[in-house]
Amino acid sequence: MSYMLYIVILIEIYTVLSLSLNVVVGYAGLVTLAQAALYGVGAYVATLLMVNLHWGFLPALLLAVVGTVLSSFLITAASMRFKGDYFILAALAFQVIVYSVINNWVTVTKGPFGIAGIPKPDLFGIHLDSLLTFSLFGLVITVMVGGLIYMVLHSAFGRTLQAIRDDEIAATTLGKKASSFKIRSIAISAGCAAVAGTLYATFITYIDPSTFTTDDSLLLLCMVLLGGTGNFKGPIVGAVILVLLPEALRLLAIPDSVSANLRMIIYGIALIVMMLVRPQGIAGKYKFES
Amino acid sequence: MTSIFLQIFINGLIVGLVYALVALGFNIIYRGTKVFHIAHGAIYTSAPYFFLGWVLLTGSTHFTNIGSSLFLGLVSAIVITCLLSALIELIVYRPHFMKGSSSVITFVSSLGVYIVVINLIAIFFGNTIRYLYPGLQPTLTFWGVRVTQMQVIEFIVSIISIIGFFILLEKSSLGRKIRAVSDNSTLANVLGISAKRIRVQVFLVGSLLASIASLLIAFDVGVTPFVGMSAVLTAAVAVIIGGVNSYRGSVVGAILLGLSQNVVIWFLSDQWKDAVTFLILVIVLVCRRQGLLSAKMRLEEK
Repeated sequence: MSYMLYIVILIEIYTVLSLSLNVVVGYAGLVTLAQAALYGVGAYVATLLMVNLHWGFLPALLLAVVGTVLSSFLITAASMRFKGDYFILAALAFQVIVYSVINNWVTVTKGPFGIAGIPKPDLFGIHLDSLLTFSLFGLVITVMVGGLIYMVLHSAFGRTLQAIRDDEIAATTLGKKASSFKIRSIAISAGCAAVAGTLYATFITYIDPSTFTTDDSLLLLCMVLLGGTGNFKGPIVGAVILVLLPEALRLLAIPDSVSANLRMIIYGIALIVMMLVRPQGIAGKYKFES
Repeated sequence: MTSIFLQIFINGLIVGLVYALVALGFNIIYRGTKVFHIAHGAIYTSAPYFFLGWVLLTGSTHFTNIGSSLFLGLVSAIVITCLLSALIELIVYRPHFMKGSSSVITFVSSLGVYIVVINLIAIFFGNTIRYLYPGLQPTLTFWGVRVTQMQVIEFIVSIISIIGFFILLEKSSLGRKIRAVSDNSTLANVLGISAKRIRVQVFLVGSLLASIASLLIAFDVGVTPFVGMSAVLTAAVAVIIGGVNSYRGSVVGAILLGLSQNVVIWFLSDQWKDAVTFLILVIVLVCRRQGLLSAKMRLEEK
């Protein structure tokens, strides 16, 4: 039972992450390799506030979101003029630099040793230390973040974003400033990633830089691209696959040393095949045309 | 004190020249085929491992028999690596080229190829570092600067390869065709140059450069399955800061990166290497987006 709940909570965290990534990849049409860094900024800001300054969960969450949104402006400042390959590299720059800072700024982040002893969330007098209460709490957060993203993307803002994605010049002639919409979409995505980061930190109660590497950004991107982009089913499918695949390999009694690599090979082959026959992913909508 | 700076300069220059090989390979593929070839990193990683596989297969325990058999192993590793890249082009990129897929789709496919190749290598050879050269290398000292024997070889081989590359590109008929396809592949097709064939040849040339570079580095500091990502990203950054339209720019960019990385390694630590590479990228993208040695393009040329 606790194993099932553990998996459920991981799926919740990754669903928040993939929904947030989908805002940028599926709706703004910008492939980014910076999501793990944003996730990490959120996790570290919340952790430092809770562990060093003994802040409560909600204020720490709030400041983590604000901090991560602000940091996302560093991505957009360098990358907004670009599309395609250049944008990917500019976003990757953010990922690499953030990882280096987390990993090397030992006085604050304790570097590779990581930070342990992160308190479980304490909400209105209820201490969420059992897996069951945490999974319910995670569900509430996931639904809230998902609902928020749904509302944003189904507003005029979301429709304009898709219009810009599909034909930037046409949207510009209608008086929509493309860069402003893209900057806002990345900021929204960053804020949601920070929620996932805070949730992850308080669930595992320990964080270190190895969760927020370029490879993790790659994995998150794989997750969204496989599941599907441009709607809400796709990213959720992607998150479920991402969490369940390693467990499935474990059930098949494949040794751990091989299974991590085997999982990546499965992802890689799936990506190659998917891009050939079904670029929108398993349950997605947006096909990366143009 | 001056000898320290000279030492850093020499180390940086040698590393930069090896990076230049990877960057030139990346750039010729990027311009010739419009593929953002992240799998170049997988090609880069494969060459030393094919060589290791050859060593294991022939049972020669590393370098007990340096000489013709070592040379045979190096050549076969390079040839197999180049064939692998041609295979990737035929199986993965060719269908997208025929369909006219967007650059994002080919990029993601390339990412998929990278992931598959790297993890296959990790399954067969393990995740830990492997050394191609056992023990310490003999060093030489010039004017207070200490270099290893391998560094001298790196320097000479990469200079020769770079010169060879420019001769191939600018003097040979293959080079002319490659440049024609890079400029406008449809027009080149109309004039009777088979773009499909040139694309394969471009991948062969690029991979040849990458495998030479990776073997040089692997003999110097060893190899892990994960060196490729850092190498291809450094190459991509070198290409962009030098200017995508200029092969000379790629060489300049690579040397600049090699030098600045060595300065950072000396004053901070190895951990900041990649951060500095990308910091330079961001500065160039913000201040001079066409790159250091490249003229601004007209809008319709982009």
